Amino acid sequence: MSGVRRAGTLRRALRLTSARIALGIILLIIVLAVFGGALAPQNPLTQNPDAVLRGPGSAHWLGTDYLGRDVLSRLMAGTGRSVVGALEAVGIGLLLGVLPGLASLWLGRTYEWISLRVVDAFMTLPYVVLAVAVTGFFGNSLTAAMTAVGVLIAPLYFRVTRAAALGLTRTQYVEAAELFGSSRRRILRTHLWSKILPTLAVTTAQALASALLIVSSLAFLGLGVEPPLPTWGELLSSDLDYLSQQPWAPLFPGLLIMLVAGALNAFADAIRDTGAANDLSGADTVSAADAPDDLPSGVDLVPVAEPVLRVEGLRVTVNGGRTEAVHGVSFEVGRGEIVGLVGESGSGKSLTCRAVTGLLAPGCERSAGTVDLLGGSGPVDLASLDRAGWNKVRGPRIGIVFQDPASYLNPSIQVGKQLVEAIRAHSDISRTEARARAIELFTSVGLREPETVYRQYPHELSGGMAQRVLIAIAISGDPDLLIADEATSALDVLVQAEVLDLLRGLVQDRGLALLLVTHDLAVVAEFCDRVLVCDRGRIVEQGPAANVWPELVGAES
Amino acid sequence: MSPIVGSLRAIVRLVSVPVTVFLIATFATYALGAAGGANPAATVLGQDATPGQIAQLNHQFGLDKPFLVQYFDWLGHALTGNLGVSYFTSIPVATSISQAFPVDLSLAILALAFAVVLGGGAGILAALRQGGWFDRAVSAVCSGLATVPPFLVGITLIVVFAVFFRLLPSGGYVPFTQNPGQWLRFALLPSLALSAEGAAAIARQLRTSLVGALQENYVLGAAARGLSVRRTLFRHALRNAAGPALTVLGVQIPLLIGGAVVAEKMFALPGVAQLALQAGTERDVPVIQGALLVTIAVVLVSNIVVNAVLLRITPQAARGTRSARRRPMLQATGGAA
Repeated sequence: MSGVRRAGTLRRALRLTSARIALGIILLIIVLAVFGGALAPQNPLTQNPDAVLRGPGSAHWLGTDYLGRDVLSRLMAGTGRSVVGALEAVGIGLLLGVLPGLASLWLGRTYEWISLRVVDAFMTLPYVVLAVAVTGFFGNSLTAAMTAVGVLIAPLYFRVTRAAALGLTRTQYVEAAELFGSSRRRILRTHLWSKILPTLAVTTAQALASALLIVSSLAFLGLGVEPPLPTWGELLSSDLDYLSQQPWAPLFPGLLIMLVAGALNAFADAIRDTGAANDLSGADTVSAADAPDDLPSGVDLVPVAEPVLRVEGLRVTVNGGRTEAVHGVSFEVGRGEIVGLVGESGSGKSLTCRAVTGLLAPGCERSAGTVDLLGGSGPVDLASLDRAGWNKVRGPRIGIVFQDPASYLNPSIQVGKQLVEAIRAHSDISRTEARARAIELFTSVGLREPETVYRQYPHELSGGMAQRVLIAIAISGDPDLLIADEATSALDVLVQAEVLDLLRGLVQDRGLALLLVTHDLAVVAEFCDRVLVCDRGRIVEQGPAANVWPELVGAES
Repeated sequence: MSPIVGSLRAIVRLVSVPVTVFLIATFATYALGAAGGANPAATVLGQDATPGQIAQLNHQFGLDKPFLVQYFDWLGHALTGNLGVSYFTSIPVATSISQAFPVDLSLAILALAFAVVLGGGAGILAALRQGGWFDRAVSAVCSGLATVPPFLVGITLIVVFAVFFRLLPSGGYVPFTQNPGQWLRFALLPSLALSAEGAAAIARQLRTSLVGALQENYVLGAAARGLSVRRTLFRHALRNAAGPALTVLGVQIPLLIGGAVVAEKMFALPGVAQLALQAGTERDVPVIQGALLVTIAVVLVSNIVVNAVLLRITPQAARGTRSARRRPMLQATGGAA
């Protein structure tokens, strides 16, 4: 079964032109490696003192070297030893790396810890340095140099195998297989290899490419070179001594090495990408919903007493302008008022909210309509703002709170410092003053131990605490308008009620206008002064919650 | 847990692994040297040596002791700064290395600076202009560098700057302490050549992780707070994106040292690698082992520094790996099978 799937992966990979070209080059190199010596037009070892360092010509297509030997023949004849050298190194790495890598998952913690330290130890040694040492200890030969390289390739295989197997042991089908009583060996045979072999194929192609490059680097140092037998690296290193006479000479072996290394890498990429695509093919593709025929008709703007936010005829396009998702939305939010913007997911309420705050994702755009901030310190036309302008609005005029609050905080910085940063971005106060203000704000959003919270990182906070921190940040600039985008949706019911109480208190104490975006009708019915119902990109109904859903509000009260 | 105990624990954690790794690596390389079977007595004394002379010389080098005793003697001496004596020149290895090491150190620091500045700058710009011409150029250069033998970069630099334009010397060295200006003239090309691979790796990793970080909610959150673009980029996105790039930098350090060997040979620099290469041709085991020890120590110290910096800029990532420590699976159920 696994064999069939792998063959499928390979065949699919070969649909890519790059993969076909890469495979062609690899096959050519294999042919050269086996028959290169026989196919070479001239004897690669024959010296000719009369034709030393000749340029390319009809007698010698790629010219001759410092001993008058034919470069093309040496390149062809050298392929075998170069390839064998790289294969030797990669083979040693494969042998030493794969089984210990697998064993590190099964043989217990002590073995695991020690084997990881051994791997670390090998990874401290540079290829070149170990090759210098090994050829120094054991004598200079291609085998000695390649053994040194192979030993250092082993950690790569160890880690790759271990990571692939680790990923597998966490998947549900292996757990299921264990529950059904399959033996470990059976699990290994049926599941593990089919998962690991493609990974190993990719790693091997990449390792061969690097081994070829390493061989040539070592040859430059004279390591692993056994004159007069040619390898690509040996050709390169001898060319370097005659750089002033033949500055182009390193091009031929250099280009050949680049070509092969590039082909191996391209081949590895093709296999990996195809494999990754296989894994993804089962996932649902998200398609933009088609606009239905019976579009609901929108309602007109209803003016309010002391407007803080006015949105008129707002249209938002997605997919880079191809699809319109919000079709002319108009509403106002007044001072001290709590307005609920409700609708199912995909109704356009979040896009509306993002457009109002200037935080539309790439590909989404406000295509028409106006958004104005009124009152407070003067009207602002939000539609005309650039990023610098927004920075003066978001914070001091609009505060924003999101769903999944912890993700909106920088995971690497203490939350108190993030609040201080927000405070100081909008006012010219010292660090100490900002810190005192931060503690004050934390207290005012009902965090019981503000000093402790100040020093905590986002992942150390509960959902409710994180939302309180985010609220503290949102009100730190003393805004007129607070926008809560599904801010309580992910919280459990009790915490939700607490956070809503907090928001209501802020509206009452500070005279904030609150726009609450949610899909939760119960929250809206109980909490909001006024409701905007969003459906397929339009506001289809609005008014006091009791008017919009008399039955719902009746049931609540 | 008091903060002092906490930071003590962090320090122990930071150091215990490198110490183990150091012991394993030095033991393995020392054993390798012993297994090589180089016979200094025969080489040094020549063919006419009597068995008595050979035995005396072996005794002098401590080669008549059991292997484990030899290793711990060597390690003990090494920790006090005594790396033994060259078989051939009788110069203390520590002396030769301490003369050669500053060459590599100054070169490596300059190369590292180039790698961070060039690679980091390219990676950031590529991420900010994702899909633009600069981004495509950076990825083309990076994948090109991955298929070029590393020393070709150095040769190209020599051909262009030393042979063609005659701006900089093609080889040689002046110590920094002697004349910083001259040092820079000689160190510029080798360290540029040395930095290429690391710069490419950093650029690629930083681009990837910065593109990822810029899509994170906390970047949106920073915008929602009205923080400036620069602040959002440097303090929020880059701080989190720098972690993986720093890890890559840590992995690059052994490669940097390996590259230094090649650079020393190409630019005729009197560094540790030249010493080791020379010793390699003479099978001068103590010198090779001294060079290996220095290499291992440098790599481990750099790793400790990288880890400490990582712990500082992304504390939650370090904590995450600790809490996510995996229990070897299947082991518990293995007995039933």
